[in-house]
Amino acid sequence: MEQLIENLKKQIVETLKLADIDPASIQTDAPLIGAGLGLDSIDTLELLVLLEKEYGITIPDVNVGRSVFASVRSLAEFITSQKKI
Amino acid sequence: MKRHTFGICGYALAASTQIDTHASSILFPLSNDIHSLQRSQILPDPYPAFGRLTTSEKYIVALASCALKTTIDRAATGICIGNVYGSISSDRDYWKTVTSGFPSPALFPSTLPSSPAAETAIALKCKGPLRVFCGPSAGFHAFLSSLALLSQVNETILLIEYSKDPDSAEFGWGSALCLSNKANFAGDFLQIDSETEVDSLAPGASDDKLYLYTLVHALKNHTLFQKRSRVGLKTITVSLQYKEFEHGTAH
Amino acid sequence: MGRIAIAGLGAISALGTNLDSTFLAIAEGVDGLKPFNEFDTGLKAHPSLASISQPLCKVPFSPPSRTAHLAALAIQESLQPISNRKGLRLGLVFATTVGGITNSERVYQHLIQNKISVAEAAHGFNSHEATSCSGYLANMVQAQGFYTLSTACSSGLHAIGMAKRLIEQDQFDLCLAVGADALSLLTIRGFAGLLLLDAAGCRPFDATRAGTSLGEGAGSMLLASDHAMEKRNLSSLGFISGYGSSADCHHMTAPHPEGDGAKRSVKQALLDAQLSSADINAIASHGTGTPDNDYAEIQGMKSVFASLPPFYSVKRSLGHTLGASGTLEAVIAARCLQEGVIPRTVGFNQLDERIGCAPSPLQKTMLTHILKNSFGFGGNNASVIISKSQTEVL
Repeated sequence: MEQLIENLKKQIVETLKLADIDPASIQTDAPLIGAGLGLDSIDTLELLVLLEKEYGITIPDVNVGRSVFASVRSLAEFITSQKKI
Repeated sequence: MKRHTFGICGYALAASTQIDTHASSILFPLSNDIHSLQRSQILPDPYPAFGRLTTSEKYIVALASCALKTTIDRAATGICIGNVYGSISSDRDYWKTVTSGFPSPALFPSTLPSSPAAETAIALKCKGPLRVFCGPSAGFHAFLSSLALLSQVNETILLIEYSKDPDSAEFGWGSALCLSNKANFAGDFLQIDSETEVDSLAPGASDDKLYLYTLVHALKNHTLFQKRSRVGLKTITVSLQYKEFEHGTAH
Repeated sequence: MGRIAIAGLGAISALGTNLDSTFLAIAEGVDGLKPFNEFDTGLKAHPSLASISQPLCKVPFSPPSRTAHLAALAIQESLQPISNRKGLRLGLVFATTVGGITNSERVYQHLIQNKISVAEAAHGFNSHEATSCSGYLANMVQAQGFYTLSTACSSGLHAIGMAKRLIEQDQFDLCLAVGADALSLLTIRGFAGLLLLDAAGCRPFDATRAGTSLGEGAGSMLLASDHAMEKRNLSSLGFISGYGSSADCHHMTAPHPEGDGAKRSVKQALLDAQLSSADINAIASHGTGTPDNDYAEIQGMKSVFASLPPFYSVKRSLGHTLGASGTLEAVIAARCLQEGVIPRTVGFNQLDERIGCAPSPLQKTMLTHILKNSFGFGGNNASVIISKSQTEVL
């Protein structure tokens, strides 16, 4: 899990081409969208593409998406739960 | 002959992949490669979306921020851009993501020829009108359009011309000029004389690809700029003179 | 600034190949969307789009792209009222977002499949840029000057504003404002990728709206100076009385949530027309059907209008025709003004409490001034006021 979290942070910074942000400085439990990293709607959509491309996971609807993108930890938990199925 | 007099808020020139500026106050400390431009070199405040800008968008934001160094009312500032190639390199990059099966949502807006203008307005908080012209005479069309906007309500116009395709040899130049129509503008100013002749020859258009670049170059060296351009049946001659600001003189 | 007369109108859309048929379908409230299968979009389901499925009529020379072909047809219709243009200077302002991209897509595809060489591909890109369309069109109508504008989905309305300015500045006696866009894979995948397409088809201002629907088409408006109108004894089809524009400075794909840019653009247009907000009888809204746009647009309008005039959106009938939408929808609004018709908004069923007001039902009424809005990606806003002349009103 910790390894996945670390990887995700790197992938987020790389995919979203976040300027001025060190992957290690992203807080695992802090909100991902809006405040904090300052991610916007376009970034959210890029994250959806990242999930599909790297992990083969599609998010069924907006409400699921909201809880998945709550934090890096929730994202990692969602990926792990999907892999088990 | 028509005469316009506008205050010069700043200007910037970029040749090759380097930006050389002689803005009114601060010299832009940029000498590195355009591809590795950092946000902090261009914008004072954090701007999370900076990283996802395409090279051309970054390039235009950088040029614009050089020309906007003086304190002007950005809410009253409009942007006119002329560009020969439109969005061809972003179109290609986006197409690559489409064929890979994962189209990039972030790249799609950059396939619009107006994306550099929009990103500049957002990054630099310019709330005036946005005009984007395409084609070989786009720089000249943007110049004419900005004169018209300045003669009406708009206080400041940021005029930009560039050739775009960062991956080709054509990516050689860009220029920005910021003009103000404020009556009490305290700074150097620009006197623009234009004359229109109508002739009966067949309609034509001149290739004015480097229009603004030559203009800003002349401005930088305080030399006279004079150019004849054809739009349809008309020949428009524009001459431009740099005037140093003198205290106590109203222009 | 003054009012500039409209001397000719032309339209081609999913609803019809000319303005008459398009307007009739709008007035009847026809839904223009159908499942799209002209080419493979790579999407899981066929998207609902407003495409023109019948073959296009021939035009002079050979148009470099479908976008140019659509524009040429709309231009021909709008030039019909004037047979003799001798001695009059004609200008052209062309607006588009996709230009010749439909050709480039084929070239990219062939390149990837190694069907053509790089040199052949380079030739294929000749028609890529918007200027290839405007150059062809200017040549077709023998225009004495042309401009190519591309400011996302507000391009078409900016073209009308700019044509108005060019005549005011005595650059031309006649000026065509033309907007055109053909459906392309790039825009379909782009809007789908941004989750801006409603699988059930767009439902502007509806409580359950979930996105827009794309379409294709072209609109052309011939503007003329008073001198040209008199000299050729042309009858006016209305006037362009005001033009305003602004930037949101907010986000690349989302509008300012309170419609701040929209508000400033409308106020400028009213100032240009020397009208007060109370003079406006109807609003031809941008109304794309995306949750953000429709809310922000009405918020912006509420801050300009003490009491909101009837408003409508034709996006479900025509689809969102992007760079063409401003011109095409203004051409239709000009006809609505003439006929005294406020169309109903197809796709709207249920009031959105958050917006707090519903678009107008179909109305036959006396109209004097219609406001047309267009907003584009990057927060690029344009507003135009279309009016009847005072004498017509009396």
